[in-house]
Amino acid sequence: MLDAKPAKKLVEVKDLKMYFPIHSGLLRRHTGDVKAVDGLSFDIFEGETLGLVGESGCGKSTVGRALLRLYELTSGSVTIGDEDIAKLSPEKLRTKRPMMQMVFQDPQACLNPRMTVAAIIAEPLDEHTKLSADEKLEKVYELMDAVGLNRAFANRYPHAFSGGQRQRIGIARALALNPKFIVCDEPIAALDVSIQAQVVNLLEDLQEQYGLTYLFISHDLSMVRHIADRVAVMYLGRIAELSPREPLYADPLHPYAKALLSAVPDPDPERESGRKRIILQGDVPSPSNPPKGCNFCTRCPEVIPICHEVKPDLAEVRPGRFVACHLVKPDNNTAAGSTGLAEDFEYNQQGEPKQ
Amino acid sequence: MLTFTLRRLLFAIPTLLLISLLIFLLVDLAPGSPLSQIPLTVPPDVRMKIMEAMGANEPVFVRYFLWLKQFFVVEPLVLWDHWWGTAYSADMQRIVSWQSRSPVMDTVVQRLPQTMTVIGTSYILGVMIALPIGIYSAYRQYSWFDQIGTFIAMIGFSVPTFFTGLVLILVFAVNLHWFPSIYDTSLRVTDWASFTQQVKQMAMPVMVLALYNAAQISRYMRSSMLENLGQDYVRTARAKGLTERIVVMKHVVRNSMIPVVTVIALGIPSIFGGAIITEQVFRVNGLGALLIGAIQGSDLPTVQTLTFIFAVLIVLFNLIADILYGLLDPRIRYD
Repeated sequence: MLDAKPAKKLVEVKDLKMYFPIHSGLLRRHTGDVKAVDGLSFDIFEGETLGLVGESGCGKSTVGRALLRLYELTSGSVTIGDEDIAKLSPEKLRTKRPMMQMVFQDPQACLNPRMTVAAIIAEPLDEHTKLSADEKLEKVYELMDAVGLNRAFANRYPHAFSGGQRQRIGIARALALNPKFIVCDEPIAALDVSIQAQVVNLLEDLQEQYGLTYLFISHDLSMVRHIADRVAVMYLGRIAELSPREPLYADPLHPYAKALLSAVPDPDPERESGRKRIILQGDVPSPSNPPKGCNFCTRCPEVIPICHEVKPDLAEVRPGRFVACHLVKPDNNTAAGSTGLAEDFEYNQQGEPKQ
Repeated sequence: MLTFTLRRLLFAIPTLLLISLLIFLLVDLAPGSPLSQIPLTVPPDVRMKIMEAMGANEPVFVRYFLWLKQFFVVEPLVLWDHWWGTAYSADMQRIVSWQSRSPVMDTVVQRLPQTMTVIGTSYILGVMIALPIGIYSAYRQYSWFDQIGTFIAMIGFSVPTFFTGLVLILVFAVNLHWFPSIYDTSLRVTDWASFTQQVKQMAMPVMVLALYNAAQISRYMRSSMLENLGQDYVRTARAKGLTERIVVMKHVVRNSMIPVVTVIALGIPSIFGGAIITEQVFRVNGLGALLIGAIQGSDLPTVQTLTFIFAVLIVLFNLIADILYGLLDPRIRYD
């Protein structure tokens, strides 16, 4: 059924770079950069969920925030809808905010402790709409219903809620302005497992109901497998592999993706006992001083000399599967090139072969 | 909230009693005699009679309990009589100063307006200067504005008021002749000319104390702002697409004000007691000057009464600060 949906790009990221300057020495001079995100390009199609996974500190959250321009980008472009938000003036950016929202990681800290739930959810409406007070309250109640919060809680303060309830408040707040695109920045990381499932199911239901597009950032690989249509694996500020869900989990191509996915435990005890983990040696290099060539070359089990010299580009090696590795060469019979992408995507978006 | 307040007030009673005893013993144990300023030519038996007349030769506990009765029974009755025209306190002994032989409370009431106008103005001015400086230096952390603000705050912090006071007198009174160096308490504001004169004579003491207060409060405001600016809810507010003005003024400043308001409330007792030195430097005839004079003359009843009033104010404003905290921060609920 979803195959019928036209694969229209909603978000187009080109060569996104986000460097944080390092100032050191007596005069606090600019001596270097933490290259949190170093040249990322990907698209997110309307109605899909793109999962973004990677270990701590690889730049996942920075990508999410940079996409909504909660940081000033170092370079690159982020086109959402038809405007490059990296170049919008602050005022135009502000009026564009209703269509792109974010659900934050820490539901405790991301809500203003001195505002009631109703005030938190209604505040974007005050700013961006001209609804009357009654209409706003009605909208707040609708949103609270949508995320499964009791209407009687509207006048309570955030500290009176549990973590899962607070995350629902955060989601209701994000939904208030009918956004098209929502960045979910580890929305379940701070919740316990039983609540995680509730919140993820809620996000899925809302996606269906409102036709939302998600960028789902997580380090929980099983959860990403559950919710995402396509998955991008990040390592040290760059995308290692970007593939539809099923092929990625069945047959990861990039050595880092292989290592990462080998860490996912299998619920079947028989298969679990036979699971072979790839243990990477060494530590992640500092993002302020990434290695020359491929940024994974210091830890890659399959490293070859060229990896230390040339930075591999993210290239389409199978239909819909993008890998940045010298070892993974495009299959000759499917080297469709970028022009074939839109058609291929229909096939690949769900990560399942068309019947 | 009401039960909390009542409970705190009840707990304040033993605290204050203990404080009053400690003050009484400390002042009593301090060297010096109430007669040290009387000429040595006065013969010893006359001195003895003076002591007896003042009640200064009684044992310390007799004097302490007498003072307690006078402070908690007689003086409130006098106030009551004064307001309602009754005569309950007609022949009761009030707390009498050993120096001036007049009731201490009358002197306090006479001196209070001077202290309130000068020190109170400086405190309000200090707060009004400190808050915007604190907010802006936090918002533009490490900017030139912030660096200069920090520098001035450090000066205000570390240079004592008697020194800044003397420097100001030297510059503005001695060299420039802009302001008078001595505060004229008898000046009555009746017209424009006397008003400008009042402003002129208030200018220097107010500047000195405002610098001192502003230095402290601006640092509190700045650090509280910095703490809140880094919070996640600020990012949420920006993601909502609010204007920067609303993000800062509505979200960050309101949350940052919680600890600052309590600091401001806690500083109010110092309006009464803390400006002793400054009043002395500028000859403002206020409560501070009264206390200094009483200490020099070993005037035990006055010192005791004034210090105890300061103690009451501190306990009271501590309670007010706690209540404000509960009102401003929804996470804090008493009882």
